[in-house]
Amino acid sequence: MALTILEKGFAATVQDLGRSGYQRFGIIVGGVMDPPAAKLANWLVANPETAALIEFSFMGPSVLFTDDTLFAVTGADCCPELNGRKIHTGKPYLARVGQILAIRGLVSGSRGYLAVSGGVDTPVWFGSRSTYMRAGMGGYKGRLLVEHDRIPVGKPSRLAEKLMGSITGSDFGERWFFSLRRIYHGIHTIRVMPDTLWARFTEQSRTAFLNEEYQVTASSDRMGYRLEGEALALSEPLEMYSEAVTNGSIQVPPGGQPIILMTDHQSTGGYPRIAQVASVDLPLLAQLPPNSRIIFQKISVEEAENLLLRKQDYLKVLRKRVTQKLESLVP
Amino acid sequence: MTIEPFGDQAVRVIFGDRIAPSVQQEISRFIRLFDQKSFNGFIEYVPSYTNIVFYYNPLEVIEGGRKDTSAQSQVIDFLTGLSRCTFESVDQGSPRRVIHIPVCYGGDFGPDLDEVADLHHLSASELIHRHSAPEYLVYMLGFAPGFPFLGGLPEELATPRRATPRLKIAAGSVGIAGRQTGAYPLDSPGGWQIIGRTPVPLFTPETDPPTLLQAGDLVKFDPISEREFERIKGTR
Repeated sequence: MALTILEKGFAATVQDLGRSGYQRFGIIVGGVMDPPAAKLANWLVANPETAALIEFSFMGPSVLFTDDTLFAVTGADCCPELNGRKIHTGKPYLARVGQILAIRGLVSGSRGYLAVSGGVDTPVWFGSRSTYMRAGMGGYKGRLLVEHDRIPVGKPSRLAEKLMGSITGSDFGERWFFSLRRIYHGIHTIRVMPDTLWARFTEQSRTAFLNEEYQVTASSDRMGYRLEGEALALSEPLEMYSEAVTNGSIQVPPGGQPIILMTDHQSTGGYPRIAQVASVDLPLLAQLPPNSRIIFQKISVEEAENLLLRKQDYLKVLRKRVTQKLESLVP
Repeated sequence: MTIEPFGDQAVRVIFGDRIAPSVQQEISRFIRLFDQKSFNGFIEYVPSYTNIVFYYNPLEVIEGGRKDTSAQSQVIDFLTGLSRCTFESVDQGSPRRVIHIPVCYGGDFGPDLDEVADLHHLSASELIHRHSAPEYLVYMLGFAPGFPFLGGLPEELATPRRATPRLKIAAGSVGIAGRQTGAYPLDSPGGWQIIGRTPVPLFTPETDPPTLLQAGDLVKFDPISEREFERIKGTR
């Protein structure tokens, strides 16, 4: 099974939930930028949530299905078409052999996901299929997808096969879809925990950081979000050695404009950090396009953990509802 | 030793505030101890010059541990407990490995050798001699797969980075940047002063562990000729 890329879109890559366990060798974690959206896409096509899929940004790819394939599009809002007919995001469809899915421009949000039943079946490298661009490894040949790439697809699950056998057209009935109910426009509150170096920044910097707006600039990507706003400064110079960093670390290079490390960040960094984004807010951040405005709000580790627990409960319920819906569709 | 929170999915265990072989030794010792114990929800650790970051999944920590207290405080308690038995129950470990890395200095492989030598008022051969004399300590890997952060560059060889970074530095290139020396495992852009190249791969994805060097190893650069470089390269 396979699908062929007809139009590459923008920055489309093969990703899964990442490659943890090898950072001490200098191998980054990587993986999808918006795990809840990627998991939802996999649930909708009856895949394990760890299955690899295609992540794209700003402009979705067009693909040709060379076999009957169950697929779903999630993440950023967009207007995909299957063989010229508008389809919904957040819902599985059955593409017939020779049909074309065109995803095109994103309406709001900045990352979308295309999952296919059976999952993208590129070789596993260090426990993951995620594309590691800098090393040129993982994913599809370690690089962005381009026209004519033939992406291998694995074997669908039993439930997916039953779903595919249960309909004659492409659509599993009108009037239903699943969504993470997010809004990507307006001003976003991103919750943070102060880093241990917090007190080393000037009082003016700390006040500005928690009260002024910061804007996501155009030079933001999977490695990091470069922000623009009031410049931040240390009270006095600090000798920093390279040390381990993580998703959501907010680094302040000498210029004073903060950078939030995102999923493709290097395993180590040597800039002072002012704060750390609460993990629960990273998927939302991953969806914010350039020019988005952010306000940082300080919370405690305990609050951050409680938010994660609540989020996990919400996703568990959503997953159950998706599975129940899929099971209700097979005779 | 102190433990600091690092966001909501990691903590940092700090062993010192300067780069020193003794600090690295404590870090290695703590890791050996941890490798025998671990905890529910643990994901991975990353040692660096002065500290180790432990990454964990807070939801799994709570699920496998106590519900009435934060995941982070449970992880901190565990690591604090571990630190108390560090010195009694862990052996000193094996002596440091010394890894010999053959390097062909100068020529096409080390385009900046002459310039660096001139800067320090040394002949090229004296620079090679001084760079290949010490045993360098691997403090950490990072930046790229298998990239070693080495300590022990003679102070008189410290050299600023190139004003304009190169777009492509070949895999195996050995360079100097400030007071650091190291070798690039993969082709990549970079601003280091390149003085030579090794035919030996530093990143070896087909082996376990996947890197030639580990934190705690000692590295000795052995000067070789271009012919020797090609011979070694050919045997791989």
